[in-house]
Amino acid sequence: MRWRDRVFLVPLDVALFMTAPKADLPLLEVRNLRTWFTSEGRVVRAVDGVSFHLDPGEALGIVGESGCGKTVTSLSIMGLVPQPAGRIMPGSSIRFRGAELTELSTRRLRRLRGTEIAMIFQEPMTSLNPVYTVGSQLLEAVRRSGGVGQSRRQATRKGVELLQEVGIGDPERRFHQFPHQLSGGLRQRVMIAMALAGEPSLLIADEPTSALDVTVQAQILELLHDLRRSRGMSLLLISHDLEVVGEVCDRVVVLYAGEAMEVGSLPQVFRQPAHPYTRGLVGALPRGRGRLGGLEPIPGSVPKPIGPRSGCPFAPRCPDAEARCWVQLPPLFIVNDERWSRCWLEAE
Amino acid sequence: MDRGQEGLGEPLGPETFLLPPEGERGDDLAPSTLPEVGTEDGGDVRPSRGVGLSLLLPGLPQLLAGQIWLGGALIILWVGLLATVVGRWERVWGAWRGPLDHQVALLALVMALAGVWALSLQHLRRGEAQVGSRRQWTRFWRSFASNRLALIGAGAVVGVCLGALLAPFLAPYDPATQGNLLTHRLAGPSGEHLLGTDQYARDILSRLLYGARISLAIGLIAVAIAVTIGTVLGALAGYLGGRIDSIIMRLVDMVISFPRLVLLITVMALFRPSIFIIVVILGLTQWPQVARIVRAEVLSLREREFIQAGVALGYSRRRILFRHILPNALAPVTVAATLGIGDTIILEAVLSFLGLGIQPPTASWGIMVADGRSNLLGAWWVTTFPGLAIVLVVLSFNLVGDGLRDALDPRLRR
Repeated sequence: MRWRDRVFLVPLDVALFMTAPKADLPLLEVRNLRTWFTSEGRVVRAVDGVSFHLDPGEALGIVGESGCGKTVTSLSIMGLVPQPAGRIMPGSSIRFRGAELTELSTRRLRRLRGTEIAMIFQEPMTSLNPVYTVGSQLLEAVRRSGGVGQSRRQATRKGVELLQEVGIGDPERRFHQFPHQLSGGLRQRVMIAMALAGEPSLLIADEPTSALDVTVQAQILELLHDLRRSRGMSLLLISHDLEVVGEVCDRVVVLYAGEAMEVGSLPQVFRQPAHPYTRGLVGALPRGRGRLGGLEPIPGSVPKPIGPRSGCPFAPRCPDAEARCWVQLPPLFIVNDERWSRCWLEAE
Repeated sequence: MDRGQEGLGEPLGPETFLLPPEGERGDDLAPSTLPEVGTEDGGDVRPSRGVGLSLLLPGLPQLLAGQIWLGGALIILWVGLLATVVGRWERVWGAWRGPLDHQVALLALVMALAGVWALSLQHLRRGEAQVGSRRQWTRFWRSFASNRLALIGAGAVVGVCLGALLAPFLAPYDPATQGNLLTHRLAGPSGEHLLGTDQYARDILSRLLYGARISLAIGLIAVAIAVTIGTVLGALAGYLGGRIDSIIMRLVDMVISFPRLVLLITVMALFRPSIFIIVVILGLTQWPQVARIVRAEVLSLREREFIQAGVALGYSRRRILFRHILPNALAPVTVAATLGIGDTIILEAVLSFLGLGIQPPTASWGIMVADGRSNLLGAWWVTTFPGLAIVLVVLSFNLVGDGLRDALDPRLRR
């Protein structure tokens, strides 16, 4: 049976089953993730029904405006949702190598961090401890994951190798410097080296380049791309910038107001966005130099995910909104076998 | 800002010495530094000649280079220490086989001499190697040194500490031995007794020097106890939060709300006053301030990105708290501790003054003030000198504390 070019309306679980990844088991499978926060008695649905999967060695991008739940999604995977305000709601499922992360004890989750799943953050300037040298922090990361039987010398050698691997020139000198003596790009490289110390099979990069200069940004993205290739590691890249994701990723998840709006392979999403929101995002990209006229901002702003949910969250800003968009949330429709879209337009 | 630091971080080669000192400073970094301090980079002194001079008389090269304060202080210290050795040669020589405090004093003397020497040489060489961790300290030192009052306070603290340690050599008489009660009772300052004698014909200068040991020891140990308890409890409260936080902070409120002096007087009345009890009680009533400071620091530090990064690397909570959060919270603790020493010294003096602290005949500044109270009109020196000593030491510690706060704060904001 051919799925291509046909549109079906199917329940989500069946959809997931039908679009099962090519490899036997995805490395990471997030299904119907809902992470809610309680603040001042009100419930904020930061993430509300996000599903995607990530194959071994694959790079997946998560894009969306600020406040759409990108970071909370990554924190949920890491088991780092701020307690007690935040909670992963029952019915959510995060499977890593087949193990259900939402049911793991804190201790076992902690063992997983740094060794299986590592994460780098947005602010390289403040992500290193100012009172220790680069080397001592790197050693700490190496020794934490390298087992007990490692001598200090071995660990040091591995630390210097890691610095080399992330493209830091003169690693021996950098090893003995303090974070404040390094530039932002170098610090981000050190962060990546620390994340790699545990040989993780999944690296989550939460806005890794947003705080950097454009030239440095390109270098870091290239580094991430190379590392993924050379290490066969999966990459989950979170960014508000479609172009950043476009540099590195194979597939992309478009988040809006805590919900996955569109999932698809990158060229497809770029060339033929299925969802009106994605269309808006792609339309808002500057194409070529000085062609400001080509920019098409999406009118309005992201709704506050507070209070009862009714209809499609994008309906107020959608150019193609119909009557039922305001009443009923569309399910994820399968556009073709690698592509889902949460829009009633696909039902026709 | 980064670029400015890099510029400053260039190792200063020999040719830098030819430049005017202002030229080598990044102007964005030290706007608050006084011009005199700028010359501290040791621009004009040739290292080779400076080292030779330094071996002869530490501080002389600095003095010749126009750094009057540093050079003068080093020379005074050096000369004073040497004068002690020469003037009290028999005591110094016999200290090896003497009682424990004489041995400690000898050790302190040797270390002080070596320290002055090393400081002078180190200061001369500082122009050459300013890489890595040193630079942080250099910047901290510049900021501290630009505060003249703090420097004076630090000098006074060092002087008092040396005086206390070297008391067996410096004191002209035994602090507890009574002189001739007929001829030397309440004798005024004279060549024989520089600061006079008290009503038991004991030498006031000797008692002051030995009293400094008591005051400083009690101040330091009590604050050490307070800092230990306060840091641990404050860190736990700030990091764990929730119920543990509430319990610890209510305990803090409780201890703080209790009038310290009343508590001390009660406890002293219950037990036989001893140095041990005083130190413990002073320490046990001082920790809440430290705990509050540490808790506030930890609360803000644990939200910082590098802590999040540590958590994401799978570090244990203990490791995060003690290896990553606490070292970053130590600056305000240092300030609080320095200021706390002054408070503690005053409290000990008050207790001793009331007769509830150190018991006679041990010399303590509080007791000395109390002893002279009845003869205040006839023999002003008996109260005045220990009183001045208390004021001087407490003021010095407060000046140093203020200087530390000013020097450490910008570093934290970075």
